[in-house]
Amino acid sequence: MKSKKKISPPKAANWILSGFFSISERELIISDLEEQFIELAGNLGKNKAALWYWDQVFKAVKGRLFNKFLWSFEMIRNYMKIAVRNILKNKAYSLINISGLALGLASCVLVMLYIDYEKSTDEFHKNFDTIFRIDRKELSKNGWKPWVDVSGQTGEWMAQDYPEIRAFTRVKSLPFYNFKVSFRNNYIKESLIEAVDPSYFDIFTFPMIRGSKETALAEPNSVLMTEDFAQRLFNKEEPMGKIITISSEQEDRVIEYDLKVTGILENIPENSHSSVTLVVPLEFAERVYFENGVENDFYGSNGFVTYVLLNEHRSGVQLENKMDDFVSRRFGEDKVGIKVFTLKHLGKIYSFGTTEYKMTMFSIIALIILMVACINYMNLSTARSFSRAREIGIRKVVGAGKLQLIVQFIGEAIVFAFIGLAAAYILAQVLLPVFNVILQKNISITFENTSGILLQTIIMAMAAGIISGIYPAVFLSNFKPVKALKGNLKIERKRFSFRNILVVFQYSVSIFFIISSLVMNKQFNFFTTKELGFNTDNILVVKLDSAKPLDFMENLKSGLVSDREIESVSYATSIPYESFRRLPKDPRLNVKNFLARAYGVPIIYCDSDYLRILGIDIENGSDFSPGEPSNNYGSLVINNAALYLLGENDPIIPGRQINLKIEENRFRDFIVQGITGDIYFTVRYFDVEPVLFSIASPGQKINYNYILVKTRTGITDEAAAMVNRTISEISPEAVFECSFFDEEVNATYKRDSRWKQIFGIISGIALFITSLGMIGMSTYSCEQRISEVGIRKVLGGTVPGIIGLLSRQFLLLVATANVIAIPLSIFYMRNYLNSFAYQTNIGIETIATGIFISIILTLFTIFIQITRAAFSDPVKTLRYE
Amino acid sequence: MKILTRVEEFILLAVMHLKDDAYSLPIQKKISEISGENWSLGTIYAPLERLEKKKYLESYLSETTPERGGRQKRIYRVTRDGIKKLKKTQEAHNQMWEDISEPELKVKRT
Repeated sequence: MKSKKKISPPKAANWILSGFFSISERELIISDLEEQFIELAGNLGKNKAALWYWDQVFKAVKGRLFNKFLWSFEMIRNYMKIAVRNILKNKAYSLINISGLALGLASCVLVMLYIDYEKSTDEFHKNFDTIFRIDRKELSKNGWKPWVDVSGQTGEWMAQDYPEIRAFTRVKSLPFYNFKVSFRNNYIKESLIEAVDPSYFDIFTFPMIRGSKETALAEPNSVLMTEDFAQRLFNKEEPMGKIITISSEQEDRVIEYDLKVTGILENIPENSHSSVTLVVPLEFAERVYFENGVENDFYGSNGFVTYVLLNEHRSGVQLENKMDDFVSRRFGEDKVGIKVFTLKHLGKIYSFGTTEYKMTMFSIIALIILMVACINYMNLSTARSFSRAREIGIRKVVGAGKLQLIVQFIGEAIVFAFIGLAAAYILAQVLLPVFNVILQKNISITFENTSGILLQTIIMAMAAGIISGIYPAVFLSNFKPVKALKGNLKIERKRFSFRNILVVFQYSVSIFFIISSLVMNKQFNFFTTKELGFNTDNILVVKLDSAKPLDFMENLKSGLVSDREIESVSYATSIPYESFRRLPKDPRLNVKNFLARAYGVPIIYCDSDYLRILGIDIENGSDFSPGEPSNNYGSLVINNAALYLLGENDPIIPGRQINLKIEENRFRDFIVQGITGDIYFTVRYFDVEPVLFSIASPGQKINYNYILVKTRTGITDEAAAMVNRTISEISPEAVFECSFFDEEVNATYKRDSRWKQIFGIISGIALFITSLGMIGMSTYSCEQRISEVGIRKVLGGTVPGIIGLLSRQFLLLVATANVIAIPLSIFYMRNYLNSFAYQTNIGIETIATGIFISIILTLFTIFIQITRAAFSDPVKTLRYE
Repeated sequence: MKILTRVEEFILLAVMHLKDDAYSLPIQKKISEISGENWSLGTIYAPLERLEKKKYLESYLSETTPERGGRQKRIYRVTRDGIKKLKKTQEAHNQMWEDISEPELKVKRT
C-alpha cells in the first residue's frame, strides 16, 4: 500500500492461528488481522506491528483453548470432586473397596517383582541372546523324564554337525559332596566345585578381577574362585598363584588334591542361574573321576550341563527341528522318539526352585485375587446405586449423555484402583520379607525394579479400574431420570442376578483355595509326621567335623552315657536325610527304587544301639545284640524295601547269608539278622529306598561322623549345652555341631511346605476380600429390607424367623459356590496328590471343613447387620415409609 | 418486544453507513471513531455473529481483492427485520427522551 516493499505479518503467528481455527474462520480472521497489521505497520513501524500481531494471535488462541479444554477440564474436575466426596461420604464402603483392591494389587505387585527378578537372571552376559542350554528328555516306563544334563560328547558332536553353533562349553560337578578347601591352616567347607571347558569364559562373560580367560584354565590343576571365596580363604593375602588343597573324607580314606589359583571372578549376582564359587578345568575332573573309579567312560556318561553359543537367537528354533536327525545320526535310529534334545534359551533358565509353570501359576492366582477384589467393587457400587440415583437424574436432566456418565463412573473406579495401588506398594513392602522367606529368595523393592514394573502396575490398576467400573457404569447410566429424581427407584431382587453370580464366583474361588490348602496341609503332615518309621523325639544329633575311628567313638560314647540325664548314645556313619555311603552298583541286586538304582544301595555302619535309639521296630528276626560289638560283626539288618534285593521271587528271611560288593572289586558275606518295617531314611518323593545297617569290625577301618544322644526328659537347650560340654571334656580337639533331630528332619521338608504356605496365605487373602464384600452386601441388603422387616415384625414375625429369612439368600449363594468349587478342587487336588509316590486321600473331612469354614465365616460376617435389622424397632423403621 | 442493545444498535447503524464496504474492519473503525473509544476486533465479532443469527444481518463473501492479499471479505447488510428493529429501538429512545427539557440536563453544582 503505502510502502513499496510488501509487508506481511509474521508467518509463524499465522501458522499457529491456522492450527486452531477451521478454514472458513481462519480466512476471515487472518485477512482482517492482516489488513489492520499493514495499516499499523505504516503508522508505527514494522516491529511494533508484528508485536501487536503476535498479541492478537495469542489472545485468539487463548480464547480458543479456554473454550476447548477448560470446560472438559472443569468436567473432569467435577467428576474427581464427586468421586472424592463419595469416597469420604461412605467411609466404610470405600475402606472395603480400597483395601480389597490394595490386597489384590499387592499380590500382583509381589508376583511381578518375583517374575522381574527371575527374568533378569543372566542378562549381564554379553552373549545373553544367543546362549542356549542343551536339555534332554528320555522316555521311560513312567513317561518322559526331563534332564538338564547330557553326555560329554553331545555338545562336541552338535558343534561338529551344525555350523550355527559358534562355541560350546560343558559343566560337570566333581564327585565330592562335602569337602574342605584349605590354605595353610585356614579352611572352608564347600559342597560344589564345577569343572568346565576353557570356552566357558568365552560364552559366559563373568567379569574377572584377576587372571585372564585365555590362561586361567590352561593348566590341568588350575582353579578359579569368586572374590568372596578368595577373601574368606586368603583374608588379605594375594591369592594368585597360591596352592590350595581340596580334601574330601570318605569313610575309610581321604581324597586330596592340590590346585593352583589362576583367576578371581567377580561375585556372581545372586539371581544368576549359575552358582559357581570354584571352577576347575574338565581335565582335572576327568582325572578325579578316573582315579576314584567313579565312572569308567568319562565323556561317554551323562552329567554334563552343556551350553552352546549360536550365531543368532532364532537359530535356536531352527536347530531344534534338526534334532531327530541328530539323534539318529549320533545315537542310532532306535533312539529316535526315545531320546529328545531341546534347546533352552538362557533367559528361560531360572534360579533354583523356579519354573515357568510356577510363575504362570503365581500370575494366574494373583489375577484371580485381583478379580475377586474387582467384584467387590462391582457389587457394592451397583448395590448402593440408589444412593446415587438423584445425582444421575440431575446429570441426565442437565444434559449429560449416557457415554459421559459411563466415563464418569469408570473414572471413579479408576480413582479407587489408584488409591488401592498406592496402598498396594506399601503393603508389598510390608509383605516382602514374608514372601522372601517362603520363596527362599532375596527380592527387594529398589528404585530400579520398581521403575521396571511401575508401568505394568499402572496399566494393571487401570485395567482393574475399568473392569470393576464398567458394569456399575452401564448399570447406573441406564437409570431413567424421571424415576431417579422421584426417588422411588427400587432395584428389584432377582434370584439369579448378575451380582449373585459374581458373589458365587468369589466364594467358589475362596472355597477352592481353602480346600486345596487343606489337602496340601494334610499331605504335608502325612509326609512329615506319620510314616517316618522312626522316632525323632528327645534326640540330639552331633555332627563331627571330620570322621573319627571306632575307638574314638567308643570312648566318647562311654563318656556320654555316664551322664545321668542321658538315656543312651549311638554313633553311625550317617543318619536319616543326610548323605549316605552307598554300595557300588551291583548287577546281581534287584533294585527297584530310583535313587538306589542311580547311586547304589545305601549302607549305614552303626553301633548296636542305633536302631533302638531311633525306635525302629524289627518286624522279623532280631535287632543287633547289645553289649559286646564283636557279636555283631558281619550281621545285617535291612528294611522292608530291601526284602527282594536278591530277586523278585526270593524274599530275604532272617538268618540268610548274602554276598555284597562293598567296594569296587571287594566282596563280603553278611548274615541278615532282622528286617524292619517301612522306614524312610531318604526323601519320600519316591517309594521307600532300601537301607542296610551293619556293624563294622575294627579291621574295616570305618570312620564315623554322627552321634545320636537320647536324653531322659525332653531335650532342651540346657541338655544340648551339657552334651557340648561333655564332648569337649572328653576330646577337646573335636569340632562338632549339635542340633535337635526333629528340627533337622522337618527342615528337610521345608521346601515342600512352601506351596502349602503359599496356598494357605492365598486362601486367607481371597477369603478376607470376599468377606469384606459380604459385609458390604449384607449392610446394603438389610438397609433395603428394613421396612419389610418392620412390617413382618408388626404382623408377628419373630426375631429368629427374620434372621433366618435374611441369611437365607446369602447362605444360598455360599451353598451354590460350594457345589461349584468342590468338584473343581477334588479334580485339581487329585492331580496334585498324584505327583507324590506316597499320597494321602483328599478325605471327606477336608471337604467338610471347607464347607464349614465358608458357611461359618459367611454367617459371622453377615451376623451383625442381620441381627441389627432383626432387632430393629418397627416404629422407627416404618415411620419413613 | 425487546429492543436492541447499544452495541447491536451501533453495529447495525455502522453497517448501514458503510453500505458495500461493510465488513469487520471498517465496522470496527467506524464505531471506534464515533464513540471515541477503541473497540477491538474481538468485541465486534461476537455481536456480528449474534445479529446474523437473529436475522437482523445477512452476509456474503466478496470477490477477492488485492489489498487483502487475495483473500475474501465477508460483507454485511442489514435485513428488513433489522431495519424494523432499528426503528423500534429509535422510537423507544425518542420516547425515553421526550419531555426532558434542555435545562434539566444541565449539570448543577452542589
